[in-house]
Amino acid sequence: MARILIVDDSIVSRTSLKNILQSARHEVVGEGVNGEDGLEKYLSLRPDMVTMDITMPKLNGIECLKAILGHDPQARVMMISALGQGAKILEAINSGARHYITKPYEPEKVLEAVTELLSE
Amino acid sequence: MEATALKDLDMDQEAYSAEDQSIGNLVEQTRTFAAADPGLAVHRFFTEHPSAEGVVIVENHAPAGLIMRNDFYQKIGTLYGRDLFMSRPIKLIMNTQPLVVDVSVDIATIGLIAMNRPHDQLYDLVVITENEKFSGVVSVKRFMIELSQNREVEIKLLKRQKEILHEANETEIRNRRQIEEKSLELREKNESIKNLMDNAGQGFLSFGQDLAVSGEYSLECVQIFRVPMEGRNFLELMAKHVSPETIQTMARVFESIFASGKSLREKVYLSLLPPEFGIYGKTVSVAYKIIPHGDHKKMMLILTDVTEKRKLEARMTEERNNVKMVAKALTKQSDVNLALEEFYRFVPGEARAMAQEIAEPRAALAEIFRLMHTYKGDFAQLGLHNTAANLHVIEDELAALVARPEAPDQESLAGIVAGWDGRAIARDDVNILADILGKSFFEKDERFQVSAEMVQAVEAQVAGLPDGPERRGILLALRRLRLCPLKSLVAEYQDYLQALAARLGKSVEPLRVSGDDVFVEKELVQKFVKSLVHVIRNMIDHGIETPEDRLENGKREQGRIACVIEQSGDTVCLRVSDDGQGIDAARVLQLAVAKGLVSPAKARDMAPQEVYGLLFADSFSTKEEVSALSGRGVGLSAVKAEVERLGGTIRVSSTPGQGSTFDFLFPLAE
Repeated sequence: MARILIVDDSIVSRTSLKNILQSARHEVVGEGVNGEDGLEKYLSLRPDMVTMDITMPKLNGIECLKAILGHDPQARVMMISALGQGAKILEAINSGARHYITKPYEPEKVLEAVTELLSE
Repeated sequence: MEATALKDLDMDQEAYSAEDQSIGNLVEQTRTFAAADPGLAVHRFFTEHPSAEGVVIVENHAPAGLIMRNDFYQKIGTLYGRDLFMSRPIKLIMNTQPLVVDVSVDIATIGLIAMNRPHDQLYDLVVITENEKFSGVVSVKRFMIELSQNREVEIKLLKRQKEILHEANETEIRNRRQIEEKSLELREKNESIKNLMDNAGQGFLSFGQDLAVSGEYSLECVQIFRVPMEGRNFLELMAKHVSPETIQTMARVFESIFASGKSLREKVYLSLLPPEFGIYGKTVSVAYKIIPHGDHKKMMLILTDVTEKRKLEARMTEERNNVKMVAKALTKQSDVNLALEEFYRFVPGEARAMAQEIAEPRAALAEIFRLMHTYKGDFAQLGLHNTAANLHVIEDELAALVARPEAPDQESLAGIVAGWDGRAIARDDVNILADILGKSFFEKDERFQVSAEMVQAVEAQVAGLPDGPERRGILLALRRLRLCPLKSLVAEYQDYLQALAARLGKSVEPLRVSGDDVFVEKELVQKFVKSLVHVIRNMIDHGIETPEDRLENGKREQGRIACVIEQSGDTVCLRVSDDGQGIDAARVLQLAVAKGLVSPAKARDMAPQEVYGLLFADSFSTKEEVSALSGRGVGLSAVKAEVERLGGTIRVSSTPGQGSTFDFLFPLAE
């Protein structure tokens, strides 16, 4: 059971992710509503892992990812992307993101990716 | 003398490989037609040219189809064929997937592929292209003759080679013999693997870090790509068939894979590669595998033609998506309405204002792009898949704008934005939802969302006030805020229904919940709604037949369980019905007698309603074997208890072979 931070500018996405994660008894320790907020929350909450939307205002997901890794190179970040963002995901993975999932996602896929990331 | 002979041989070989190995000199011309030409035109051509085997249909210089003489007259010869096809476009009768190969593919490969075709297509013309453009056809008849002549050349060549070799140093041959034997062994082994690959109906190919396709690829690859592939750069082969962005992504992924060592990372990288792509009208799925090769890695690709499968799936997915959307919309009505309202406000109104107000067009473009993207994600998550797909198209257009070196000026950006119509973008999904759930789904009533804690906090505050009619009034009003739509409580059975049906080997459509929007106090009704699990379980277990039985009885394969909510005055009727085999009244009676619930004498003249009432008696079960899911005899009596607690009643009706209906009537608490 991991302590997870959700960073996403859409409340719909945040809520749905939160429900999925909580259904597998993960603890959602915080929600960042944009990249800046996500970075701040990461530094104060120090979660086990982060789910990070790519397209966000005030520091997009990749910038936020880089900023987090700048403070904590061991940070485990999973990107959340939309269809057709292959190049962005690649950039994120090459920048140090550990995993990703694509919207719209099935709950099982999310939990599978989380488990893979946590057991790495 | 020796030198001359060798030189002769070289020349022969040169001539042999330049001419005879390629298909070029076998290519014949044939008449071509456009896809829209009428069948009559082809008929005339065949009549005037009795020796013509077939014709090719060409669109934009590329081959689009093939019509063989025999096939043509077979179709025309059917009952209505003449009337149907003579005046209509030939694209209706052409073979859209003939064997097409590039002129650079060698004879032997073409021969093998041609002979591997289904029996009815074995003698079809092979269509030849050069740089994607139609260049001619190869007749299988001519091809066979040519092949046998080639053999002669080959044999003659071998004979001379033998003679020359004989004259050469024999000791050297002896020294080499051992090595040759070894390599022959190896070659035979390779060939048997190749045979296996060629007959698997899938394309296999592999490449290393340099991305050059290695020699051992299967015939199906040539059928897919239409060109010889050995030594060619894989990405260059793909470049014609996928977008430049995809090529770029693939290039970077391959680069990363050949550099990376971690296994999760490899898995993540592989998943970024396109799982399928379109090529010459076919859909080809690709499985990527990393295989160790000495101290480095190789990529192996397995290609499968999934054109037909995808077409079928696309239709089924469409239907399934619609059902999913409806189910989701039911449980998330307010979310769907909220998202739509926001979206209508944004497109084009707010977006246009944004385009006009943000002075820097590039910033405005980025912001609009981001918001459109967020809406796309929200709609996809809410199941409005057509809306999400439409937004994806717009997003692509915006992405193209963003990628341009020159940002559009303020005015043209506002113009582009003004061209969007939020309602048109969401129309398909809104219509589907309105069709199934009724227009009232979108009607804006005065409801809004308040968190339960907030209401409780206000309640607590009011409770602290001195007692009086006013205070009681406010408390009552506050309690009403916590009402909840009965539909969404019932719709929560959706997942349970599917999971249970799957476990029991039954096939059931998604639960349909329809009817009036009745609002109830959740705390009060929840236990009753939860007890409905027994009714649904019984319906799936006892009512709905197996798919085979249903088909045999002329029913749709999938069973249906529906739930209708009706309100008349202060009474709510919740009706749950199935279209299964109905309740076997005789069997129920027999069991009831056996269990001593009724006397045999009384059983003889019991009305059906009374018989059904027995189902709700404590410890009654109609299934001889107690299954893991139902039949323990506690289920339905629990429902009865809950309905009675609400002051309600149950009515059951059933028609053999057509299904049963359970009505639960209870008063709305004020």
